[in-house]
Amino acid sequence: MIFWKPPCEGDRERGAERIAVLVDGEDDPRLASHVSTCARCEGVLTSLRAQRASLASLGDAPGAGPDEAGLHRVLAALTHERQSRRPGLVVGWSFATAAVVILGGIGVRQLLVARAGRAEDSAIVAGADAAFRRAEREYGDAVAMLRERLSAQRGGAIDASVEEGARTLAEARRKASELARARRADPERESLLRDALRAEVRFYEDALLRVEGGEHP
Amino acid sequence: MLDRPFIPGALPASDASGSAGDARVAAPVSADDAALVEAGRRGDERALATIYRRFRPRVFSVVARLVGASDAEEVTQEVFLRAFRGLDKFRAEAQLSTWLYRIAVNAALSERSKKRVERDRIAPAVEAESIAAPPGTQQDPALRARLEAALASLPPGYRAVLVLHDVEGLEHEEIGTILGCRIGTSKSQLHKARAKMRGLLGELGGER
Repeated sequence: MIFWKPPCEGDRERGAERIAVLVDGEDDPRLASHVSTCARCEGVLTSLRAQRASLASLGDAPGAGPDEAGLHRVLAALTHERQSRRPGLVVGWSFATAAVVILGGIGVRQLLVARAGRAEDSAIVAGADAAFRRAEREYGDAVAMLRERLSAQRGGAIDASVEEGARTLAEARRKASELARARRADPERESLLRDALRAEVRFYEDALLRVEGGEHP
Repeated sequence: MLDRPFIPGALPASDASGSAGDARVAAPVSADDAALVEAGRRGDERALATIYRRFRPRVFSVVARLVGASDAEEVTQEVFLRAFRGLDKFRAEAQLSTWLYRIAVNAALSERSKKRVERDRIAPAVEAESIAAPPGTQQDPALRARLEAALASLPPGYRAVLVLHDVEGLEHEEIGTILGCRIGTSKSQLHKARAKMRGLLGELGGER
């Protein structure tokens, strides 16, 4: 038979610790029975219950109310981090300017075509078109580089969800590109391609940010 | 890697992140919170602001009671910054509040451990002095000050469990998730903390 010692015998704090079990209504028949017949232990239980009730009524700490200034500081810090990280993330991302070149190329072509539409401008339009195609190829290289970097960060594998998103975006880009080529200098089609390119760049940047960015609790 | 509080019997950090085990049976995230998290992951600032406004009072209160009023604001902002950076790591197996509490406790105890030596000596007096009942609190200011002072004098591990359970009203399952310990450990720590607290209150108020 195990020897049972009442909590009122021996160390006070240890005794209170044992009685504290009863504060939340835990089932300990022998302890409960003793406490109900021992004025000292009952007093400890009563004070522990009062203590718990007092703690429960403490409520919010002073200063726990709305703090819009704090919110703005947090959001500003996040924005700053994102902005300062992006260039770092795409170190060697000179290829990324390909996307800008493409957009610029599109803009130049549109401007020229809109302004002139004359036969003598067709050479300039053709030049812009060639620059556009070259930039698009470079853009493809840039995306490949980003994929490589992402894969390296992931230990040689890209998450299935990332892979699926990348495939979808690449397909969207391919279709947008085909449409743009099929009808040159069509603003709507070129806008479609521009959006596809932007989405793809943002997608890879975000994927890299998730892998490389921040401390995760 | 964040510092973790010393909780005897605590699970290894990797095991305490919410996959399985007896300490983690918390309710899954609500649909509303899940939508906020999803929007927040996309960088939607309105969603992030809603999360901040919704949970700041609780996070701030826990942090204030763990690190003291003077550092609470800064640590609270750090908590939300860490949370927003790590939204992708939030798994919907637990409540968003539980996850935020976990970050808050870790950040607070980490902050406290940095300043421990000096602060432990002066914290009780400073805390007691700085506690003014917020508007609407009916509690006797003297009792409140004694409670806060006694809380401030508890060892960090005890204090975390006591604040989460008795002040914030969390269950042991949730506390286990937050502190990365088993339910039994949380209960045992709570009993020890209550007994210690009672002793401290006796010392502070002459009542035993």
